[in-house]
Amino acid sequence: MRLFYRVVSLSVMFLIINGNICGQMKVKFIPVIGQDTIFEGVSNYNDSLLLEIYELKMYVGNFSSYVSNDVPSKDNYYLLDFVKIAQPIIEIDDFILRDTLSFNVGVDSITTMKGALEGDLDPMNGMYWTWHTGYINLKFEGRHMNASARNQEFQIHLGGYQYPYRNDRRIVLQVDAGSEAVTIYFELDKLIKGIDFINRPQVMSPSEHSLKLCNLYHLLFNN
Amino acid sequence: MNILKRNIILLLAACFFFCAFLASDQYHIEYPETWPEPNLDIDKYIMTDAGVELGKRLFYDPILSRDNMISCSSCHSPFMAFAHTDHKLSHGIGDSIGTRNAPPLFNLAWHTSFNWDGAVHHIEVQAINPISNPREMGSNLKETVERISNDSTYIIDFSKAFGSREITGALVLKALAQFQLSLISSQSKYDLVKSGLDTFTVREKRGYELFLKHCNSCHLEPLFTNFEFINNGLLPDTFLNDKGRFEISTDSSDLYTFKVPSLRNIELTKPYMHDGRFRSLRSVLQYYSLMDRNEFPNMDSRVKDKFVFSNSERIALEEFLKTLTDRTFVKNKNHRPNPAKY
Repeated sequence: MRLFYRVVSLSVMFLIINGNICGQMKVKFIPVIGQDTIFEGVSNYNDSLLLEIYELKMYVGNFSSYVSNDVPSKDNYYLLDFVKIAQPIIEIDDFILRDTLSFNVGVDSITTMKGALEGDLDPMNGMYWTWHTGYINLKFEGRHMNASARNQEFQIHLGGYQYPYRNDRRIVLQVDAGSEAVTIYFELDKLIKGIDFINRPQVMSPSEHSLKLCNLYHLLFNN
Repeated sequence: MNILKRNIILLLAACFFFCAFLASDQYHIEYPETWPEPNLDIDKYIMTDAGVELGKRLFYDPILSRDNMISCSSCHSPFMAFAHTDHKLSHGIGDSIGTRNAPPLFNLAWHTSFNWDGAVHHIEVQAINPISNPREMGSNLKETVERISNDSTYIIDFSKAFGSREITGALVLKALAQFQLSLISSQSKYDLVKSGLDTFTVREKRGYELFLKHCNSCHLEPLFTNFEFINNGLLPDTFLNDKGRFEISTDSSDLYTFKVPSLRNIELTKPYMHDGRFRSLRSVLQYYSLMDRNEFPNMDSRVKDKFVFSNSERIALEEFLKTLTDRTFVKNKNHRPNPAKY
């Protein structure tokens, strides 16, 4: 019996120590347009473009300190709502930061195939297509002076997980190994430059138009 | 035996009985040995008696719709193998007419996609489609969850099914999926014949032979569909111009293709085709017999092969198709709504 208790207490100590070694990592996203950061709530961010942002939401997840997707990563997804919280911070437990940080923008196809998922991935969060099931990876809605649609409004919904319009992307950044916090700038102006407000102010399905915009993702995220 | 050994044995026995208690709650889908494996891994998929019961409650509850008038059963009637009969196009909230005929529901674990155009990839997320469609239930998942959460009796049922007093969109969808997955149709006369417990009549046998020759390549037994999207030459309705699978895949080879429906219970699920254009099996068979096979460039080659039925052949085929009716399934009281408990 004494041997049994010794084994149990050593195991418990081992688990506690292990938890402490890995620690927590914080990832902060800051959306910017040029030099300007974005604030909460709907507002005019750029007078000269007459740009108003109504909605800016995005799924990020599968954080890993390895480039390859084959290595197990933290498989949680987080729904970032920049109009609600302009500079969201994601806290990831048990994470050892090496010199790269990689993550998914948009929900990968394997996760999507699993059906109705919970938490931030719950379809009731409004980031799920009803007509062709799958996640909306990035939702960007607002007004722009060049938008040819009614009220100069635009709606960009980027999603799709099936060939040939797989719209999620893996971002890889060089970081300082061992740090506990990483700040990532989400350079929205580069996405805005890619939107054809005159001919395509609305992107609402997986298509070559959404693919073109998703192919910009690797330019948008920098630390 | 010493005290330590006795305690360990008692602990193990307690664990065993606890697990057995939990396991008794697990709902198992039964199907004939000769069937292929389901597409959904039902060994891993969590289904419980309480989950199936909750899903059934939700299925028959118009609370899913914006005006509290439309339930799943409004278009999927349990008396007709969960199909929408006597309506070419299904209708929903405020009597609005949809664009397609709601298909019957059974053997869903075998399906590789859902809806006529395969827009839905997993049974759990299918319900979002009708809940959100302005011509079906006219609501959205978030508001539906709010309405359900206001009913304390649902909080009890969700607790029983999922151990959670918080109702989420995912749990609503999972419950509905569990009920729908429990709908298994496998005891038609055809099935009894196949397992040696009954025999076809002469006409039914002749019909089966014709079926195997002309129909089985797409309506593949024993599920009576190969789940593919095919163009069977139907001229598009000029009003609807429904492009079928193309609307989802945007691949031109998918123009005017639709999912091959299962022929099980076909006797009960008229009218036929994605837009309900045929009122009888006779008119379907006449169509296949007489259709212009030069109409579409992407008409499936299996349909392109001409087959003309004589009158007696048509009757034999119809007799065979009627053997696919599973009255045990249709009359199963477990699929009907429970009398109001609350």
